[in-house]
Amino acid sequence: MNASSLRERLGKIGDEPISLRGAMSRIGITAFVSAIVAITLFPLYWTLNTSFKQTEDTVTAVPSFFPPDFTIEGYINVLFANGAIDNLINSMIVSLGSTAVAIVVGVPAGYAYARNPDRVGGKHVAFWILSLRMFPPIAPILPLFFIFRQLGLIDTYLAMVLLYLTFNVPLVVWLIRSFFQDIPEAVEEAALIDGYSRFEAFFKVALPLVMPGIVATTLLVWVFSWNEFQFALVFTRDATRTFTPLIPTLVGGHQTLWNQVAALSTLAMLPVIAISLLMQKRLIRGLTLGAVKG
Amino acid sequence: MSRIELDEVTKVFDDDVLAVDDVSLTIEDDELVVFVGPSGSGKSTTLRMIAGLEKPTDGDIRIAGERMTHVEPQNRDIAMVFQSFALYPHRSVRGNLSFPLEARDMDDDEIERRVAEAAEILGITELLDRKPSQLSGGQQQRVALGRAIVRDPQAFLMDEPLANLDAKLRTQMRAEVVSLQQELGVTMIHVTHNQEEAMTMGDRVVVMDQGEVQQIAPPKEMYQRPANRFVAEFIGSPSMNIIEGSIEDETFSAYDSGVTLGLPSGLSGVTGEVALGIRPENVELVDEPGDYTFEAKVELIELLGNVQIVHFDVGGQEFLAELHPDVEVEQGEHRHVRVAPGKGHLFDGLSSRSERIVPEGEA
Repeated sequence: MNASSLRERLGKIGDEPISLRGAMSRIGITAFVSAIVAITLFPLYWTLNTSFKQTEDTVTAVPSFFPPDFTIEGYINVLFANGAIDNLINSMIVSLGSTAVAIVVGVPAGYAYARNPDRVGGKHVAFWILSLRMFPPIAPILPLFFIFRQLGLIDTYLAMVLLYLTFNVPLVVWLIRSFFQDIPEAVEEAALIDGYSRFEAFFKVALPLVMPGIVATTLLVWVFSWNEFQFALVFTRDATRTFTPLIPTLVGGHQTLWNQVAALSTLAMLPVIAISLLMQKRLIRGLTLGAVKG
Repeated sequence: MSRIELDEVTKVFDDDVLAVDDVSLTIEDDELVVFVGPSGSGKSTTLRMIAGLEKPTDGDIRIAGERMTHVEPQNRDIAMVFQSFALYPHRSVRGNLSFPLEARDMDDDEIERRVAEAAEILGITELLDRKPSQLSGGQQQRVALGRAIVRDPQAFLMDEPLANLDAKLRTQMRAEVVSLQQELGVTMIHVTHNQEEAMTMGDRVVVMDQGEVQQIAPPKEMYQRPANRFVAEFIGSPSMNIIEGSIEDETFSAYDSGVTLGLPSGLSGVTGEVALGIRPENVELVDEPGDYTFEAKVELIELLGNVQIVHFDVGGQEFLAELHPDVEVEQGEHRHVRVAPGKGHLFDGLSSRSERIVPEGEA
């Protein structure tokens, strides 16, 4: 059977009157997908909805699906009255700082573990690096707190950057390592033969080829640092408090400022969404870099 | 273009694998030498040591008279074509071709001129703005060759560059590589596991096995006077028939098949355990038993068009004969096979390293 007649027959299958079973399965799939979409998007919608309400409208007995009295009061109050603008700036400093260091340290390390693991401690050291990510973050908080207090690092940007590195460096090393492993060594060897040093071959050939992977990794690591709560709660005070520990302070004994909580959450989501959309193409390529080999 | 010398080069890998064992050879100026051998024979490792991608454990490598043993690849001024082509996926064809030139701080006009010239030679001018992923296997191959010829290096190293191509394209590229080598007048080392490729391409062929050089010779000599049993069996398709046995009183008696054959005059005086090698094309079918004949049963006939390959069963052992297609043979019948006098090879023992016994009167 040639391709066109096959296509014709396949086309007819679609044109046949839909059987009851077929209809049920289509309805089933559509309903299932719709439910997932609704469950995923509803909290986002509700946050957005709440953020534009007056404080008193957030606690009505019958919840309203649209702000009855649209206002940006929540945003203004949380940003200026409660000083969230400083917290957001702190979050930006800490997360960008930690991400930058994690990438600068982790990418060469990942390369080394991909290309020549025996010269950097072998697979056991590589696994030890990964294992740093395995313990629950709450476990080291107390000992680290006392160490950092002794060193006078409490409530400093340096402390937060260092803390997040503990989690981010292992992730970067392991992700980047697998990206480099997917690049055939012959491509780099070709560069050596073509007259470049190892360093030049790394920068001119290997690095550009894993760039989508680096972009994806950077985003993952940055989002982790941006959203981190536990360490921020324990290790920051007024000077460096990030936005995440601010949120529980809006939940008071007498009143919870739901509109401000929602407004801050929305603001905090914006950079993540914006960057993800901007990088969408590279991000998807990066996340699937290891999965599909060309 | 220049001469490449290997002097007692040995490579032992970290895990104590002896990959290349005491290899000495000289590749002359403008010569095309083919390294051939089964996988694990050390041919690619030898090539990679010449390129500088592996460091020899022992021995010396000289290119154009200069000692290069520990010089980094980028300073050796050699070009290499890889089996996987190893094109830079993020650069266009033009970018791939210009990459080695950019390393040499050449000015842009000169780079452009050379890229255009190389593209012209290889017929890839219209592909210059494409990415490697948009090219067919044959086109990628040409780009890989282009990247090598664009810079006028001391030597070309080819690491099984034709292995990834389909059969038809491989034959075509084989001829192109040879004519390119002659046109440019370059020293070239070509590595392959395909003996046919080795025979058709090389000015000289280096047969390697288990890290050791077995023989270095021009293709014709390699075929007609293999140095040992390994070379005899490796070179030629279908392979040389080998019958193991011993010689007493000028008569060869096979161990398994009961075949006995008298020795031609040039080999009189040989005694003891030997392997007898007979190429499939050096036999004919005769009606009556006589000198140099033995009886065999026809098991299978493969007609290839210009020849037929007849598989005989000789006392439980397979024996291949390459005969003219007009010769009448039928499956299952018993025939008398006659070995052309002087065309048998005797190897001094049964191991693959057993050396060929040179008949009297052979140059």
